[in-house]
Amino acid sequence: MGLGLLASKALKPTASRLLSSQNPRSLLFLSRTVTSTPELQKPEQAAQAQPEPTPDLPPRTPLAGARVHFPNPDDAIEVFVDGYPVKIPKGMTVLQACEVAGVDIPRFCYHSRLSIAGNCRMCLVEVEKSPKPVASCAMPALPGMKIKTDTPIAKKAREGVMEFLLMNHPLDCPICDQGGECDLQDQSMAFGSDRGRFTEMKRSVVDKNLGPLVKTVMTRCIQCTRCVRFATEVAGVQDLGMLGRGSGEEIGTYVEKLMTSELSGNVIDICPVGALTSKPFAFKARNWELKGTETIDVTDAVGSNIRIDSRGPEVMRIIPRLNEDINEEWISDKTRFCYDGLKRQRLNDPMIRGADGRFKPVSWRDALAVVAEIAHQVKPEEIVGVAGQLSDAESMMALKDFLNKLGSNNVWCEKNGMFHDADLRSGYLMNTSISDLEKADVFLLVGTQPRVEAAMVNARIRKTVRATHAKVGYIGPPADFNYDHEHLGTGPQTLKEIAEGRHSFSSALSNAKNPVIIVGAGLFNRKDKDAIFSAVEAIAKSAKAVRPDWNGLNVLLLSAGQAAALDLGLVPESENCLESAKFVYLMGADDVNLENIPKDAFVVYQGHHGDQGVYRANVVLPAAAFSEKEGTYENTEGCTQQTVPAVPTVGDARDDWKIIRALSEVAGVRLPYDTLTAIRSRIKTVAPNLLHVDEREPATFSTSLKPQSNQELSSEPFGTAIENFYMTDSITRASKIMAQCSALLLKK
Amino acid sequence: MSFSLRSVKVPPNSASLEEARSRVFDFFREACRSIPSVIDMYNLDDVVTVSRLRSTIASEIRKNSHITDPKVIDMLLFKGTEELNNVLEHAKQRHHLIGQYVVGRQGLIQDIGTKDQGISNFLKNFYTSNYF
Amino acid sequence: MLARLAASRFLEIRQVFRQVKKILSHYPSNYKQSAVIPLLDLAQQQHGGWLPVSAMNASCNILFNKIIEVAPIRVYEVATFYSMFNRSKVGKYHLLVCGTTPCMIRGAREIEDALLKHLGVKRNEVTKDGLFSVGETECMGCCVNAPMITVADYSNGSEGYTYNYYEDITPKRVVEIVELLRKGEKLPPGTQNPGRIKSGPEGGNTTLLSEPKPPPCRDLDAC
Repeated sequence: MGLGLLASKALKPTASRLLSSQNPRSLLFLSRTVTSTPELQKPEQAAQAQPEPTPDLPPRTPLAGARVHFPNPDDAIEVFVDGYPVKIPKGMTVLQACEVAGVDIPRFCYHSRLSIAGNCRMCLVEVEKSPKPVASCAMPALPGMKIKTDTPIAKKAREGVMEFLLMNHPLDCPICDQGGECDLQDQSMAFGSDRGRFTEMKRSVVDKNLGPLVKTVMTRCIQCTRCVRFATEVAGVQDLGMLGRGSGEEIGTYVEKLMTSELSGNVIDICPVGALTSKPFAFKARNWELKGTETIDVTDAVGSNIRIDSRGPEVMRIIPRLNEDINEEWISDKTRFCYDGLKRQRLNDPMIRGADGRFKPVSWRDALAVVAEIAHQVKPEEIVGVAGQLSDAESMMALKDFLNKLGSNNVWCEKNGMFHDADLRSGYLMNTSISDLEKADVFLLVGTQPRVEAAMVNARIRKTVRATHAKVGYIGPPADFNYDHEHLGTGPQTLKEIAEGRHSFSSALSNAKNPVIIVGAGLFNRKDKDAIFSAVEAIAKSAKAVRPDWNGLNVLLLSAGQAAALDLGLVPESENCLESAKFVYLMGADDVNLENIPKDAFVVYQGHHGDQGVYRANVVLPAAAFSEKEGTYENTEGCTQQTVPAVPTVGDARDDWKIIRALSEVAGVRLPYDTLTAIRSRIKTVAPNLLHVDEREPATFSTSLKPQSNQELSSEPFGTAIENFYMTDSITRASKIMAQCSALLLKK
Repeated sequence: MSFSLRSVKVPPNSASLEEARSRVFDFFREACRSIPSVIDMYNLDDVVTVSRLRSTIASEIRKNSHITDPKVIDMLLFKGTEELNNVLEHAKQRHHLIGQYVVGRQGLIQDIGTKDQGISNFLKNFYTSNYF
Repeated sequence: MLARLAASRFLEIRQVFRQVKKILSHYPSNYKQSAVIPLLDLAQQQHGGWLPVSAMNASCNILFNKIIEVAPIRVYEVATFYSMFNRSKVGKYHLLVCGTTPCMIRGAREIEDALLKHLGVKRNEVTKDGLFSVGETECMGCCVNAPMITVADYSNGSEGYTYNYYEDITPKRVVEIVELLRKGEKLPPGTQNPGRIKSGPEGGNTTLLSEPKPPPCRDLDAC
């Protein structure tokens, strides 16, 4: 419900006519003016007084990106919304028809991504020849229907509903965290009365404990059941329900139970009132004091679109942004609540480890001088660089260029391990694309647990399974799934059986129209990865998963930096260069095998958190986190996106690429770029797709061009790539909320 | 603010460069005369001498020696008088004076000059801040 | 002894399974979850008139095992919605006093007061011997014989389970009913007014005993 719309409703008709004779958009509201009370009492007279809508007005623009998609052109029907004809496909509801016509219908229980409940009754509209107002969200639009959204009857009906809703709603907006972004608050401005006729006691409901993320104030609940439907349909955890009846009705779990979903934070967004709010954000800020920065998330390889809300130098909260192709409008709990990790254990100053083993803060000048000196003392092949999983493309480019100038080519991104095949993009991307997973009918998950590795991809698979009953086969250790699946086996042996057509699932694959095979990036670290990939390719071939119109062979990456690192060619030259290294440059890398680094090696850690890498480091260079810098990231499906700085850097930290650029100059191998634009034009020569922001660049060549490997499959079963969903990188490991989550929600 | 403004009288505009020039000298003399009381007021004896402060005032004035427009000089004079008044009214604290006139603005940034010879602007900026 | 107990237990379980199977057979295979209400009812009868969480889980598991996925919360939703599922302990005889308008006008309040006073409990409380509890019910459709009470008899498990209406009661009669139940006597359900037969009028039928009168008609000649 746009506040602007409400405000313009309050305009006097004559005034708006004067103001907006040029503006057709505001002219719309002319015919939707609020009827005053005397007219309400005499509806017949008011109806006569209403001017007939002029048919030659320009067409209205659909609301909030409402899309009209005609699956079958013959199914188009025409309805009239306030006299304006609109063409919509058959099966749309009255509310959707109104949205296409550019009329916003107030609603609480209706949510476009959830099933229809029709229990709040706020969306009542008048339909000609219908004896009563109809709930537009649950009423299918019929050909020739004449829908009236601005008549006295519709308004009075909504006012009545609003009065009932406010009857048992506490008047605690001043202490409610939803205040300012509350649907009930907004809509009561338009349809609420300034006094109530309810003289009895308001009911009160005991608050529920849903875990460390969601705070409940159940007295505020208006029983729209959006959270119940979200939990059941999208999150796939049937924990929440509507208990009791009548005035005793309440949302709850009945038995004491925490909401153990990786998407539970989204109920905060969909709750139209302040019943479900963010526990870590409680009483921290008001939404109008926050500065929103539209950026992307880096805690997994999905690259969910987020908005960082900050106040001054502090990130206050993270909320999702709509992107139909990637995260729809949900984000995982890790994305949403990792932000308190950005304030803890940060590295402020450059530091050098003294002889006593303690770090001593030094100036940038001294730190860089020390690093540059050591870098020149070692042999070029003993220099190793590891980019962290959160690294942006610019800094990885700079790191690779820097090490190349020093004469070394041992540089890689930590989660990729010794993965060499960076030549073919299709070999490490999700070729199907996240949104096209919905078209698949059979899934084969090889060594990947999408629920913990990429919660948004898992939500897509679940959506597909729910909608089309797609079959899911899974090979790997026993794992948690929130949809029906078939556990085929635990290791490469099963893969071999399917590849040779001996397994029962191979017939399902070959009968599938759009089969999808997803290989987990956790397999990159296995010795027999080439054999696994050729087995998977054999399966894809027999199932015809790779066709000109369909590419069903996917790799699901684990972290935000991986795809860009492979695009930029960050692959190590020799297998065990880390063991023989004398100078190790860790650019935010905490998950490499630190114990493999020789004792006498000099380790530089450049990063934003005092995490595992710092324990081994000799020099620490503080860098900016993803919320503080502009950086390019490529997600697992090959879509390039950029982060935008939301808050200033902490302490004396610098952007990653700037540190490497400065170090290169101190070391006497000056890199030729001084600005972000310059470094991007350097990237253009290596991976031009990284400059096409917000575009998915599909891989051009399929993996069939790859030479066959004659490696033997080992019998060792697949492992789990991510042990703890809530703590995967330095930011989430520093987060207190994530620690609480893993303590409470992972306990089984 | 109002307190210090009350005691600062806005003199009539200087008619010529000559008049402005003489006013500057008047101001310099006035400032020099107040140095002992300033040192006394802010307990600056152990960090600075009268002559050091005098030369600081002189150099602050010389910074603007290239200005020839009497109107601008009047404005700068007004600002200088205001600053002097603030100092004399004890509107400042000891560390303000030490920071601005004893150590000097440049003095706060250490080892200037020698080391930064021959490095690029990028590196110079890099050492000062992340934002450039 | 133990073996015999185990054998009887086994028979009991077999009995239950037969009943469950019978209930499930009433529903089409893709709507098995509709069986949740009869299953909960069965569980309630077997568990002495009330449903602990474990009983709800048991009914949920029955449905769950039959492929149709029913989460426990869906069962809780149903059990909390319907007021005839008791979620706290009730007596072996659960006495439900109708409190809806016709019964209220005919003295349901006095009846409830008499019951509570006689049993020495509050509403929804169980007597110390565990025999009786008093609750309130909505209209059972016996308004013509108001006031009425319903007695849910859980004393004999699901086999001997009855749910009888006692109508036309007075505060005195309701105490007598309680005492008869306590003695374990069977008493005929229905109206407790000896002068009435079922819902017929007191003292026998009064209408349609003679030739029906013609409909009243204005005397056209009179005007």
